[in-house]
Amino acid sequence: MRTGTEKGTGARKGIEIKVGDKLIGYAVSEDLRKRGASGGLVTALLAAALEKGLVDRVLTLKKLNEFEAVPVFTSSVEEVMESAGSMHSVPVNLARYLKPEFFSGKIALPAKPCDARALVERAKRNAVSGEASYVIGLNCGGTLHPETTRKMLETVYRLNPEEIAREEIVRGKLVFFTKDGEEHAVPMDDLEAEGLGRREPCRFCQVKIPTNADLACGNWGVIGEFAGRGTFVEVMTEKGAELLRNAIDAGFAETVPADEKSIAVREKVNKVMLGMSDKRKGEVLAPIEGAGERFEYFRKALENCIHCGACKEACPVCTCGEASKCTAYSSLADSYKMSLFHMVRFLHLSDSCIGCGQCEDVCPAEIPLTSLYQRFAAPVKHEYGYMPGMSDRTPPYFALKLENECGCQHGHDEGYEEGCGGECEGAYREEYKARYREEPEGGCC
Amino acid sequence: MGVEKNESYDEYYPYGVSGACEAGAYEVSDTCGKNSPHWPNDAYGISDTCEVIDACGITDTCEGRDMHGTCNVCEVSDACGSGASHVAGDACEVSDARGTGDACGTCDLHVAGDVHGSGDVHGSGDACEVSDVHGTVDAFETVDTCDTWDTAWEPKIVMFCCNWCSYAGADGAGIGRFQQPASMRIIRVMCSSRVDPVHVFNAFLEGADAVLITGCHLGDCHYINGNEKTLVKFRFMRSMLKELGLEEERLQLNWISASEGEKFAKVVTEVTEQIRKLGPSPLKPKGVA
Repeated sequence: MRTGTEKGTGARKGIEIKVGDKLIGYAVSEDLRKRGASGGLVTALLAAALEKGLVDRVLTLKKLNEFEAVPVFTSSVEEVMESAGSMHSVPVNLARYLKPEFFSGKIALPAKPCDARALVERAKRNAVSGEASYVIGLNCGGTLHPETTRKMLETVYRLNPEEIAREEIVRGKLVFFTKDGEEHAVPMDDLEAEGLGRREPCRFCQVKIPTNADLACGNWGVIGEFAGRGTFVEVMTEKGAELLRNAIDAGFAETVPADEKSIAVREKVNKVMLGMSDKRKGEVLAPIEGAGERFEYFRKALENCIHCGACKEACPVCTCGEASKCTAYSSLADSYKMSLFHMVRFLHLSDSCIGCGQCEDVCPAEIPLTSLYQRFAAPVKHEYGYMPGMSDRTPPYFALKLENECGCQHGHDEGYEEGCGGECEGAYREEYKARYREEPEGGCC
Repeated sequence: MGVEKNESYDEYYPYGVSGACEAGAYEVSDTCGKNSPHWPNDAYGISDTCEVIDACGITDTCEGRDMHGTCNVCEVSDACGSGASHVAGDACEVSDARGTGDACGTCDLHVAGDVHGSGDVHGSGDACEVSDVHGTVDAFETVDTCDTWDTAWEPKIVMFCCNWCSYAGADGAGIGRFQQPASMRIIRVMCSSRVDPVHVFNAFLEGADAVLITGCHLGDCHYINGNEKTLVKFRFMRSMLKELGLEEERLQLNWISASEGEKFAKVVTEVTEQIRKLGPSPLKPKGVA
């Protein structure tokens, strides 16, 4: 096993890794560094965690071909090494597989922001243990449906899907690298204008850097000598620091501190991506015109629903299982104007929907469910200042008591309309602004 | 004029000498057509006065489908169409479009699409079609056998009352004889927090125009903090129903204590008025009043 002290530009064995550190990391193994996305750090972290017994198993994607993969639980380091590489055309939500019947013990997994959000929400509902999960967050600009990808390759890029080596999204362009070393790039906006490109929910997703995971890894901000061969990693929690330390000590990975410029570039890319999302969100969640039209809009959107229940099965945040109210009290035999199934889901998801789009992916009637659920989730997000999956805060629907308008936990004497009187000195407001980049609604502070 | 006597009549017409339905007796001036047979089960009847010159003055073309009754009045230019039956007192439908201005007879049959205007007169026994549109100011419904809910729409409101405070308050309203409209359908629950959103949604889906949740005042809950939980749920339900397109006023939360009988009646009166102005709920199924 290599100690890593002789190789590389800045071995960090023995150096302190702290929460809040921003580093550029890469796999020590040259093969992994080449095969893995941006230097293979994530694969190295997962392999090292398994090798050193930090976790009992790893949940990762096993490639079937360039566009398809299946999630696997593995305790084999080799299998983890083989799963290196980013796959933009596999829009699976890994958190959905974190059920007690599928695994036990400690687990590490790579997680897009939506996977990490789902995991956090599942932990709140006691469906998975937060402490036993090591979440390696991945920056994500959006995923693609495999069929859309094939269609794009055939009609827009005019490439044979067999010839594709890998793909990347770089500066707003979807780039395919063919086996002969060529690059083929088309701006994502152009693709999406034709109805191709990313999945719809990805286009208005509000979290691009997974700050809710243990580590946030990605290639934004990786410039200069490390471009294409290093991963920018931000240490979000102590567990993340533990993961990174473990990988370095085991000789699987090396890191160097990220410089100011890298950090600035990463921030800028994030801001641009979020700006694009906000714009798309405004389009998709445009206000419904007309006084009597609202109900008709929803009724019409849902009129093709066949009540298969796939949306509920696929939803990573739904943990009720068979005994859920949405299915128990609705029936195909009912001839109401709207199904109780939908009404209950709209209510229950108003504080839980993370906008991952799994429901929309599985719907056989092709109903744009994510935007429907997000319509209900948006006012709740505003009213309670709560974004599901981003913190350990109890979902507001589970509260025993109405919180203050400003969301702080200070007590109050009379009535629920008044705030805390400014006791929290605006700290909440600042935290909210930093996290969600907008002002919280209402409140005293 | 004259039609040849048809010997085969004797086979089919056992009327005999006394039968007024003698061959030739009618056909002389019968313009029904040559050899038009009058059969034994002819609806025309023995005392049929032979429609040549109908009382309304227009020559009846005697269509096969026409049923002439004993006191039949003309249908020549009847726009009624096939199967139309006219009875005594029937005003000649020459220009009858079965629309407004129709002075319906006692046994007038209306077909689908019939529209009653405000001047419509319904007689007793009038069998109106389902698609009849009755205006709200239609004064004729007393014996109308049309739709069961022919009366003007009244709000129907489901009210969840907690056993310890609001239900007692309702009793208090009754005992104190405080007047209130009969719009509430009260469901007693032990605590307002028992009310699940599923109950509320089901109420709307079954046809409630509004739902009221009432309970003890904050701090007075018999189960200490049940009403605080109700408040949390209520805000979510309100937000969700508002997004769905139901007006805010259709779901209301009120704290009413056992001693507030008068308040109970006042709340009921006010809410009923609010909902009356809003109209029937958009979630109401078809055919439910």
